[in-house]
Formats: sequence, C-alpha cells, structure tokens
Amino acid sequence: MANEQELISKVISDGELSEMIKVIKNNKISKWNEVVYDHKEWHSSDGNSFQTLKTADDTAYLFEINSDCEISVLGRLYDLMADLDLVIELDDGCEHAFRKLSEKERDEIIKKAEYYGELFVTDRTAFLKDAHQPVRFRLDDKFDSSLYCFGINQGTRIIASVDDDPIFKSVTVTLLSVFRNGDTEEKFKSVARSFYRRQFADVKQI
Amino acid sequence: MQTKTLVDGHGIINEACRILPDDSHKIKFMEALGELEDSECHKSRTFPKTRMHPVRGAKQKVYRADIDKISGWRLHLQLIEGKLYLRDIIEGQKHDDVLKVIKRKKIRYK
Repeated sequence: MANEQELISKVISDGELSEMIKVIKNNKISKWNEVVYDHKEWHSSDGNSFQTLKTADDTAYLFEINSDCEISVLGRLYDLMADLDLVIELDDGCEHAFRKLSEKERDEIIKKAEYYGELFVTDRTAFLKDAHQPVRFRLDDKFDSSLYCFGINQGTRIIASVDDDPIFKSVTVTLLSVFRNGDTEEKFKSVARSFYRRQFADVKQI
Repeated sequence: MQTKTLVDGHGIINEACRILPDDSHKIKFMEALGELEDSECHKSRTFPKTRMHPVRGAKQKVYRADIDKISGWRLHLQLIEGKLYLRDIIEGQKHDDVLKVIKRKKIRYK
C-alpha cells in the first residue's frame, strides 16, 4: 500500500473530510432518531464511525473516519474480503412459501440474494439504491432495523435482513418473506413485527 | 490468557448481580464474561459456553450470548470499533431463531 497519508490526500479532499467530521460531531449530540447513518458515499453501522470505498491507481481501498474523527486506511478491499463468507439463510416463517416455488424461481431468488449481499460489501451506495425500507423500526430503543425489501423480477419481491458480522467474518442475507401481490408496506410491517418479536422486547415503528 | 476489551458502560454487571435468580446463574454470568473476553475464542471464532452469535435484523453489530441455555438468560452485546459493549441482560424467551443456511460461499471481488 502507498503511504497512508498520501493515499488519503489523493482521494479524500479536505472539504469532504470536514463535512464527515461535522456529521460525526452532530451525531454525538443528536437524539437517536436524528442520527445520520449514510452521508453521500460514507456509511456507518452505528453512527459513530463511517467507512467508504475509494479507488486509487485502479485499486479499491476501504477508508474509515472513527468516532474521534481520525481518518485511516483499513486496507485494500481485495485483502479485506479474502476471508469473508456470504451466507444466505432462510427464516422458518418463509420456508413454506419458498419451498412451494419452482426450482427456477428459487434459484433466481438465491442468485439475487447473493448479488445484494455482495453489493452490500463492494458498493454500499448502489446497494442502498435498490434496498427499500417502506417503514423504519427502532429496536429496544437502541438499534435500527436492517430489514429491506428487494425486487426479484417484475412480480416477485423479497423481504430480507442484510447483516455484516466482523467477528465471524461474514455477510448474511436472511430471507424472511417471498411475495407477489399486495400492499408492500403492510407486508413489510407484518413480517418485521413477527421477526423482531422473537428477538427484541420493544419494537417501535418510527 | 490474552483478553478482548469488554466495556460495561450501561451497568449491566451491576444489573446482572441484582436480577439473576441465584448464585449458580451469577457464576455462569462470570464464566460468560470470561469467555467473551478471551481472545483465543475470538481468534478461533468458537464460543462453546455462550454460543455467541450475531443477532439478525439490526444495523448495529449486535451479538447474543447465553448465560444459561436452560433458563434462557442471555446477554446482548454490541461491537463498536473492535470493542464489545454489554448492552442488555435478557430473561429467557419462548422462541429462538430457526434459520437454515441454504448457501454459503466466499464473496467474489474482481
């Protein structure tokens, strides 16, 4: 890797850096429902530190600004992903509907789930353009929902959670519902409530 | 034994001492903390006592660790900048996730 400071100044302008520092500082004094998780091409899982991918000399690097507003290069994306698993899971509430589909339809859903899981890691901005949250939930007054609705083809949609896990080095797409017709928002609310009821004591729609 | 940083900024240890039903649970709680701090468990990604695993459906990196498998007492932890923060102690619940892996592969990057 080139000298870290040189690499940072090559791809991140002072303006961009000070903009992100402002976001982090504002997040520290914000109430939870005002916390920013995505700002332009920077993304955060908790509102404390932000990460982004930038390309220099044809190589993609992952950059981080931590909660103390210090910037660093976490590494080359290629190296960071060397040990990363993509796992596609099926929730038991979805299993019946999934098994009823034809093999072709099941393959199409798994392929799309893989695509979105990879996009989550390699291009979060593009991922967030396709991943739709019709309603947002706050869990136990501390956590935010990672449930999204995705289009599979013209008629079919899925509801899935997409979660990255740095301890076990994986990204998991958990399929919670496959559906064709009806009100997406109502479906999303009902699937989310049923899924979260098993994991969190308090689930609020925000 | 090398240790992983475990942070108790929300008084969860104090709460555990107050609400866990008996001494046997309190000992298991201390054993659970020991395992969560053990960097060997993190290196090998195996947590035999607490069966620590990620909670699905939360943007933040949330993990669940058992204190006692039978009564269902467990902990919620959050990983922030490489440190594990104790967030909640939870009494046994009726359900547990039933999730089946249908595909696992290495992420491709060109």
